[in-house]
Amino acid sequence: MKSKKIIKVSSAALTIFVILTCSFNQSRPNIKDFTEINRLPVIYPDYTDTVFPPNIAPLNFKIKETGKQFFIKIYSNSGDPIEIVSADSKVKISLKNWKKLIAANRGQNVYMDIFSKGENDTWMKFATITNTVANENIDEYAVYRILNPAYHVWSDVGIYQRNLTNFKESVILHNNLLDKACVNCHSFHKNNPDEMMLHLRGGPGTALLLVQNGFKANINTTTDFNSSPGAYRDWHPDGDIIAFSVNKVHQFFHARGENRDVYDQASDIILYNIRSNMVTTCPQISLPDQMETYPMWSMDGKYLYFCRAPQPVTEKGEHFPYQTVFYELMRIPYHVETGSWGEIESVLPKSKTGGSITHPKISPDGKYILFCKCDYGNFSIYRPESDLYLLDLSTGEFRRLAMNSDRSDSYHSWSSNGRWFIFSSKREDGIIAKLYLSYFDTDGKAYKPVLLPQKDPSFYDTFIQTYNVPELVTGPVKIGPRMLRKLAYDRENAVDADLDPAVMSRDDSPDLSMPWQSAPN
Amino acid sequence: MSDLGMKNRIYLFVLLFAFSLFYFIYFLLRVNPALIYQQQEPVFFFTYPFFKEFLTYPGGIADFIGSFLSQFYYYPWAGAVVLTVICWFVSMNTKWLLEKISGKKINIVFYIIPALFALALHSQYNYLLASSSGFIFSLLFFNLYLLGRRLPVSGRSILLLLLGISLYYIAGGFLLMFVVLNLFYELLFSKNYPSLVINIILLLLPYVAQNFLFLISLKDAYLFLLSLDIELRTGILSVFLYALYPVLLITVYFLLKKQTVDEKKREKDSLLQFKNKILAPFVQGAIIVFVFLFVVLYSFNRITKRLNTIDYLARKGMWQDILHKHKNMEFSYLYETYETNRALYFTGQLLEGMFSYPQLWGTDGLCLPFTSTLLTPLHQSDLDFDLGYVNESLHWAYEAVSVCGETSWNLQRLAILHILKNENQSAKRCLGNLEKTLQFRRWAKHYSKLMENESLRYSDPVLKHIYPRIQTANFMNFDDVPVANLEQLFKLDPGNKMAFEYLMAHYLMNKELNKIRAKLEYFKKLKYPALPRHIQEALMIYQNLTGQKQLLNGYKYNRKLEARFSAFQQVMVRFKNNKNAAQNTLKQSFGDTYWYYVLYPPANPEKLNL
Repeated sequence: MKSKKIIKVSSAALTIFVILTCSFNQSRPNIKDFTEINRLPVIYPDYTDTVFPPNIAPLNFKIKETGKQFFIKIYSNSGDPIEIVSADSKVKISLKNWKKLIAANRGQNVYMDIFSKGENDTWMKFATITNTVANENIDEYAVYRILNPAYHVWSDVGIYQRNLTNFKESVILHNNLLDKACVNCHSFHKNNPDEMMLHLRGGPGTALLLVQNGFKANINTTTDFNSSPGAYRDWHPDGDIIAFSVNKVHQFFHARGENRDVYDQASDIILYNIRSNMVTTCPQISLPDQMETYPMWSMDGKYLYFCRAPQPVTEKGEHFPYQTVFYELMRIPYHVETGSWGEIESVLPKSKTGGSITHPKISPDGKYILFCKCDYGNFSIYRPESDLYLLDLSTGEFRRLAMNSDRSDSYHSWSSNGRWFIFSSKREDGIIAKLYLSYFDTDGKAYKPVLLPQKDPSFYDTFIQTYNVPELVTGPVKIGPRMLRKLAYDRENAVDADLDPAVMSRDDSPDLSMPWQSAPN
Repeated sequence: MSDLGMKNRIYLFVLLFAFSLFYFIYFLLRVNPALIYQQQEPVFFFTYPFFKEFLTYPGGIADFIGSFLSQFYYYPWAGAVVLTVICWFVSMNTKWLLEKISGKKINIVFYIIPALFALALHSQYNYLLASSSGFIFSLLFFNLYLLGRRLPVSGRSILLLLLGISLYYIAGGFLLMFVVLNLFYELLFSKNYPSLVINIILLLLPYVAQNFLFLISLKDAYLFLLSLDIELRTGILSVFLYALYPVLLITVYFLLKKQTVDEKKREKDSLLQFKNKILAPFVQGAIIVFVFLFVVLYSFNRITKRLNTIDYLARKGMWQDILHKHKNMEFSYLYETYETNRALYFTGQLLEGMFSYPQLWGTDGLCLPFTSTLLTPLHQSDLDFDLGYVNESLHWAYEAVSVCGETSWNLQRLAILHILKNENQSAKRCLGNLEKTLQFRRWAKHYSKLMENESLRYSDPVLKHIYPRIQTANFMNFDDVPVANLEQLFKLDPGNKMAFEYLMAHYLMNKELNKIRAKLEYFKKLKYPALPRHIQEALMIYQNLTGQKQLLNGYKYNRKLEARFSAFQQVMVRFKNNKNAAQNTLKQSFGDTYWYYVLYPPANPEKLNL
């Protein structure tokens, strides 16, 4: 009696095991005859003709072709090919096999053959997809912000880090730890994860959280000169000074097209010295009739580049003439030892670009500036026409990169070796920004970018949040969210930046509630 | 089993059945779970990533269960079943708990009362099923602990620790409830003092979890799901409910203590047994009815129900029902006025009858003020959608996602707007999410199909009215001057009848009769057979004050209306132009006219502190 029961239970277990095994272990189909289709298969993300980093996570994708089964073969000149059978059109590549194949084929092409099984059990083979493995690695981590498409209200905002060599994503700081404060504008010194800063608004209070090789500080960068805290920023190469723009920002909405837009009612540039905890500026970068923003240091630290536009003068009751604000690229010499400034000079005037320049970022070799250009204003993420342009500093020539789309291509960051840059683009739908990695060769050519791969190839199908401010860093950010939270709430040890006595207090600064008034000379 | 035992069981069964039936009917007819759905807009997707999110914080499992069960609110009867079962679980767990502690049968009064509190909490519309789930888990885990009460001390300690840790992960803050129950149990009944140490360790668990395991605030680590915001009625009721259990344990303790030696021997006897068997059911019934009346009458949130009802009717486009509900009201909340005005427009009565309804909020009742739209952005999105102001509707729908999350209504609105804007990728993303919901998957599939067929889009009943209205030129939106946006919309598209009527209504309320006069030609262009009543009323005043003739642009005054205006004037003459003295008389006969509105403009209800 007992043995019968055991047999029954065993057979049931075996049956379940067989069913499970069959459903999970889809063996390689025997494809002898197939029809060749003379076109590339449609896959998402579009991983065709790209150049991708040799240390990137598997480029998982979805096949957007009909078929009741798919067979995918990924191969190159060396190493074992990867073969995948997929019944649901999702192609998830084994991390281990991918790493092996890619490591063996740096600088080589990698091919993907995709076979599709039709309703009548016949196989079709699409044209072979070719991608290229670059020789140079990308920095291992990307740090970015994820939030809902931003309008007036923010609720779920977090700064995350993603290990680009696999799919691990972790929180650096999320606003659910900070009473729903807005966390933004994270930045690193020379792609170093141990030298980081970010901003807070609301929650524990407006602050700059600074972490530098073990040193941690909660700083209020507002002074009598600048009633707004530092916003857009760049670290001086020596690591002691951060240049900030201080902006009075206004969001507004369009009745047609992209509905969001932003303009600055006023802005200046300040320098914050970490060692002396002092804010300073000079008249040339804080002119009352000009709006200076997006500071960026040259690689030798001898020049401060920035964008500048004349501050419009408006009559009472008039709309701000946002469409007539064009930012030009300027630079000013700076002597870090003496803290003295030279004469300001124009690098790329509006007469040359015909538009407005934002987010200039100098390449690590100091040869190029990668920047955004849009029709007007300084908020490129909301401008569909925003594209990435490259300025060759040796020739002064600039050009639009071929990898741009007809939608907003915006915020970007170089990898430490200068062979890669990451940027946010709304190229897919115009609403949600996603992150793309583009290879940049020694001749200054940028290649078709790779969408940040995800473990689940369907991830982007339903993800409604947007990525912004991507920064590449050479390793993981070690300071955890709890420590940052502690720092944010540590009001006792928070410090107010001092204002350089040589800088005039702006107690009599223009009343920004009435931006139509002309600025005092 | 003796006859008496069987009778008692039947009596108990009938009583519990009656209560369950009563709960069901109460939830279905008085509370109406669809209105809870209306208020909470619970989000639930049948996807693994959605589930995975709930695993990342203590209390996530109860939160997940709550989110799932809340989906049934959409169907009132199913929601009522869920709530009834929740109350039943509360009762049964309380019964088991008290019976295990006392070793005796427990009088029904003891375990019906906590369920009445659960009923009161769910009558608030904002109390989450996640909290109820957490609460039931805490009772259930305490019952599990009581099952092991005869284990040796070490075994009990380990069991307590394991249950406490598991409960914390499942139900978050309800660990505190479990610990409190345990402390009272150990101190009053069990006297197992080593367990007290374990309880203290458990109290440290949220602190440890917050510092080393989960990315949550300390407040959430200790209080998540407990719903203890005592500024809200749910907070007060929750405190009462939680406090009830220590009270019950103390009561049982003293009742047991008072029992005679004989009574203690008779284990099957009911605790708090009434000596008089005939009167017992009546006394029990009276206690329950008294508690029920107290809880329900005190707790039922009529205002919330009223607001949720209008919101529900507006979401379903049941405009006549809205007007029917508000016909003879003296006072109307801002959102009620706002939806009533939408209802008036959709039934063709805005300029005919808007002053037949309370217009206490002035133009804010037509277009919500900015501060209110930030609280309930989807309402603003609704009006912008009706107006064909697609970009602003999209703006507020995304604000709604930030405020309320990726709720089904937000996603529906976004999907439709992205289809209208030809942003197919974005529309697909919203539809893709909706296809993973319980209630809206068919809707999503319908629109996914429709996106593939251009001609179907233009015949879709929702889309076809908006397509011709979509803005063809740009202008800068005025966030806090809605009338300026209406003017722009109408200027760009003079065929936009809703923008026109809302603009006219704005002018009426702002007493800008010149502007009404300047736009009279559009009544002809928009093919109005006659000037709407309130416009005629406004023009009569205008003509009367300015002496201008030939105002009507080919239209004529309604004769009855002319006679009414004469009567109105006569009343004023009779009261010697004393507005205050004439008010009551005028209100009775002319309270629904623009004339009355002009004479007695509404006081700001906020100032009246209503």
